[in-house]
Amino acid sequence: MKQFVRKVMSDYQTSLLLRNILFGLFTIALIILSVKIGFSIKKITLYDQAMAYYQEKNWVAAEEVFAQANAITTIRYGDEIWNESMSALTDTRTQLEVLSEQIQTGKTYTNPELMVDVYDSYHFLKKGSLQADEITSAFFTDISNRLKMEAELKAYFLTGKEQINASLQANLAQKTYKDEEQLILFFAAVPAEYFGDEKKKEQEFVTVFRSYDQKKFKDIASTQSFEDVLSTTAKRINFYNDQDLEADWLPTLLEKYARTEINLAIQKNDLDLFSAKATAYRNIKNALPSDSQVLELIDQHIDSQLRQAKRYEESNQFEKALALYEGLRSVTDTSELIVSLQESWTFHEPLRLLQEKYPDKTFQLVMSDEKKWDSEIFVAAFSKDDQLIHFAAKMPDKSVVYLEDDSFSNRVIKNFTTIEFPLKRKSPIILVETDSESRLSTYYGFVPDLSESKWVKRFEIEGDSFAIEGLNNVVVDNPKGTGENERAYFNLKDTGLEYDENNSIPLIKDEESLENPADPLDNSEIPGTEPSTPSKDATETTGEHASDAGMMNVYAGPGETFEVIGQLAKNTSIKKIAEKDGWYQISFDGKDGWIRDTGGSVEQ
Amino acid sequence: MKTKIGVQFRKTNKTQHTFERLKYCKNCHSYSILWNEECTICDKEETLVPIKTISLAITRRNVQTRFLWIGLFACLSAIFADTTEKLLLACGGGLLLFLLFGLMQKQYGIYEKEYHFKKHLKAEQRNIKDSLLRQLDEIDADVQEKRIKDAYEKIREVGYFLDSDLIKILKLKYLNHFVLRKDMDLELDTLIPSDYNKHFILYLHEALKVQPWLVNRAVLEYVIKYMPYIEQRENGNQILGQVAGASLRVKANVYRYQDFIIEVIDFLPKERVLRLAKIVKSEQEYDWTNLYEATKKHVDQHYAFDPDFKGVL
Ligand SMILES: [Zn+2]
Repeated sequence: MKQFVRKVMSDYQTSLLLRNILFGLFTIALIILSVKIGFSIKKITLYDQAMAYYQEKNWVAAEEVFAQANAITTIRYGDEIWNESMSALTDTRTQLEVLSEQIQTGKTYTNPELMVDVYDSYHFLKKGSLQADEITSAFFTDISNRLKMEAELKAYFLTGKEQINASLQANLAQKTYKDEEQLILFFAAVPAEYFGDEKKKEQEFVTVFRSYDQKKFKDIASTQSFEDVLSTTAKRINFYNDQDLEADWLPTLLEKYARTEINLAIQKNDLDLFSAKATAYRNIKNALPSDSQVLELIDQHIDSQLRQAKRYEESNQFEKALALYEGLRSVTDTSELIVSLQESWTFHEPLRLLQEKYPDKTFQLVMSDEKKWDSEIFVAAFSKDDQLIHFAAKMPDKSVVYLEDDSFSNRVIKNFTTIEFPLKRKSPIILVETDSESRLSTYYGFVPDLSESKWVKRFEIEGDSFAIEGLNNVVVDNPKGTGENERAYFNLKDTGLEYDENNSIPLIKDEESLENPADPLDNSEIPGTEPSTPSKDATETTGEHASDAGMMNVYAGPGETFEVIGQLAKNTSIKKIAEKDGWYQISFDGKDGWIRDTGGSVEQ
Repeated sequence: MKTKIGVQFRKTNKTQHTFERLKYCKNCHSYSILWNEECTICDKEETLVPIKTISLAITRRNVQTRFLWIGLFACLSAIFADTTEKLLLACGGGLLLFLLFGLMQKQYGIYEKEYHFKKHLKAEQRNIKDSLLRQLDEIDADVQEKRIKDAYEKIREVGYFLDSDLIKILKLKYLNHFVLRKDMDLELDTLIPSDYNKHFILYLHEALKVQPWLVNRAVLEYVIKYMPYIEQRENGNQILGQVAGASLRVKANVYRYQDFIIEVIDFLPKERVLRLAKIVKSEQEYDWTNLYEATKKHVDQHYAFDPDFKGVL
C-alpha cells in the first residue's frame, strides 16, 4: 500500500494531502462543536430560567421555557424527575393545542363527529389532569382558559343546535326534507351538558323531532303514494332504532294512517288494492310495533275473505270463490285452496276438462260420470265445430287423459250415451248412434283404453233400435245382416256381437213397433228390457222412479243406478250434508243417503 | 590524435554534504543534481527545492498532522458528549493533550528532523538513483551531439554521488578532449581508477603540465603501483619525472617517496633537480641519506659545472 501510494504520490504530496484533509475535518468538527456548545449554553440558560419560573409558581411560563430548553437535544441537563414532570406538562399542553386546532378546523357545521371527538378527548384529558397533582391541575386550567377551549366548544354546540332547528324549519317550509339523518345524528351527538342534563336533552329531542315528524308526515301522507309514505317512514323508524333513539310517535302516526288507508280499500271492496296495501304494510313489519293493530286488521280481513270464498265454494259459486282466492294470493298462500277448488269444480262441472283443453269449442251431447274405467271422473261431448266426440278422463293421479274419435266423420251423429251391463258397471260402453243407409241408425260401441290413450271399438251394427237386456245381451230390431227382420239378440263378446238364435224373434211389421223410431233408446219402447239409463247424461233425464208420487227414493249413492235404501216424504225438511251433480247427500236412518234435487225441500 | 578544444568550465559548487547537491521537483518527484534552478524534466517552470528543505517540510507537516489528529479526536469526543460533565471533560482533556504534545514537540522536535531526514533519504534512494541514471543517459546524448563540455560538467556532478571506475574513466575521456589551462578548476585524485588506465595517465600528463600541485599521496601511490606500465609508454619516463617533480612540493612526500624519486631522478628536469638538491641540503632533520647520495651523484654527473648548482650541495 505504502509502495503504491509512493508510486502515485510522493511523500511530500502525501503529507500535504493528509494534513489538509485533517485540517478540513478538524475545522468541521470545530464548527460542529461550537454550534453544540452554543446550543448547550442556550439550553442551560433556558433551563435555569424555567426553574426560576417554577419557583415563582408560574407553571405556564416555566413549562413554556422548559419546552424550549427541552427542544434542544445537544446535551442532557437537569434533574431527571423534574424534567419528567415538566415533560408531562408539555404533553398536556401539546394535546390541548392539538384539540384547539381541531376545534378551529372542525368549526364547519359539516363535521360534528370531529367536534364530538374533541369534546370527549377534552373531557377525558380534563378529568385526568384534575385528578392529578395540584400543579398539573392548575396548569391544565390555565392553558385551557388561555385557549378558550370550553367556550369554543360551547359556542360550537349551541350554534349547532340552533342550526339544527333552523334547518328543520327550512325543511318543513320548503318541503325538501334534506340532511335529516345528519341533523338527527348531530342532535344526538351534542353533549347533554349543553341541554342541561341527559333528561332535558331527551325532552328536547322529543319536542323538536316529534313536532317535525308530525308535520312532515302530514305533508307526505297527502302528497305521496301509500308505498312511498310507508317506506320513507319505516326507514326513519329504523334509523331512530339503530341510533337507540326513543321516537314512538312515528309508529303511531303510521298505524293510524295505514288503518285509514286499508279500511278504505276494504270499504271499496277492492281486493287488489287491499292486497297491495297489505303487502306493502307487511313489508315494513320490522319497523312496526309487535302488537300492530293494522297487521291484525289485515289478518282478520284476509280470514273473513277466505271464509267468504269457502262459502261460495260450498254453494257452487266456484268462479267467485276462485276470484277471491286469486285476489288473496299475494297476501296469503291460497294455492292449495285453489287446487282443491279446481277439483271440486271439475267434479261439479266435468265439461270444464274439455273446455280447458278446447276453449274455442262449444259442446253438446255432454255426458259424464265418476269412477269408470279407473278414472276419477270422465266427460264426453260432441262438438259441432269439428264434428268429433271429445273425451276427457281425470285419473286418480290428477292427470287428464284426452281422446277424440274421427270414425264418424262421414256420419251424422244423432246421439251418444253410455250403456252399462249389470256385471260391468265400472266399465260401461259408450254407444254412439249415427244415421244409417239401410236402417234407422248405426250403433257403435266403444270403450276407452285410458292407459293406452286410445279407443277400443267393441261393435258396430245397423238397426232400427238398440237395447240391452239381461247380463250381457243386446237386442237390436231388424239388424242389417244376421237376424234381419227379427228382434235379434246378441251376446256381447270381446270380439264383438254374437248372434243368439235362440232368443231372437221375428218382427211383426206393424205401426206400433215403429211408433217412435227417433227414440230407440227409450226403455219403455223395448218390452222386457231392464231400466239401464246411464247415471247421468246431458239429455233430458226423465222419470221419477219413486213408486209413490208423495214419496221419493233414497239411494245409496248420487245416481239412480245406486241401490234404493229407503223412501222419504217429499215435503220432509232435512239437512243437506253435501251436494253433487244435482244430488244431495242426507243423513237417513243413521246412514248416508242421496236424494235427487227436486228443489226446496232440502235446507241449504 | 584528435584536436583538443579550448573550454571554460562552469564553476562547480563546493558543499559540506553531498546531499546538499540534490534538488527536488515537487511536480514530477524527480531529483536534479545539476546547476539549474528549474526542473528540466517537466514542462512546468517548477523551482527545484533542496532535499533537506523538502524533508523538513514533510517533518513539519507530520507534526501538524499529529496536532490535528489530537484536535479532531478531542472535538469528536466533545461532540458526542451527552452531558455537561462529559463535554467539559472532553474539552479540557483535549486542551491538556494539545499542550503536552506541544511541549514534547518543542523538546524533541530537532531529533525528529534528523531522524526523519535519514529516513527520507533512505526512502528516496531509489528515486535518486533513477535520477542519476537518467542523468547518465542525458550525458550519453550530449556526447552523441559532441557537447563534450556539457557532458563533462554533468558527469562531474554525477561523480559526487557515484564513485565508480566507469564514471572516472568517462570523466577522463571527456577531459582529454580539452586543452587544459592553469586557471581551470581541475581535479585529479578524484579521478584515480582502481586499476591501471591509460586515459588517467594521459590526463595526468596533461594536468601536471598546468597544475602540478594536484599531485598528492593518492596520485603518487597510483603511479608507484603502476610504474612498470607507465615506463613502457611512449613518454612514460617524462610522466614519471613530472610526477616525481610535482611531489617535491611537499617535504613530507619527498621523505615518504624518496625511493621513487631516486628511481626516476634521471627524468627530473633541471629546475626540479635544483629544488630537490635544495630540499635535501636544507632539511637535515629527515633521514634521507640515500636520497642525498643519489641527488649528489646525479648533480655531480650532470650539473658539475652548472653555476646554478654552485654551492648548493
Ligand atoms: Zn520536474
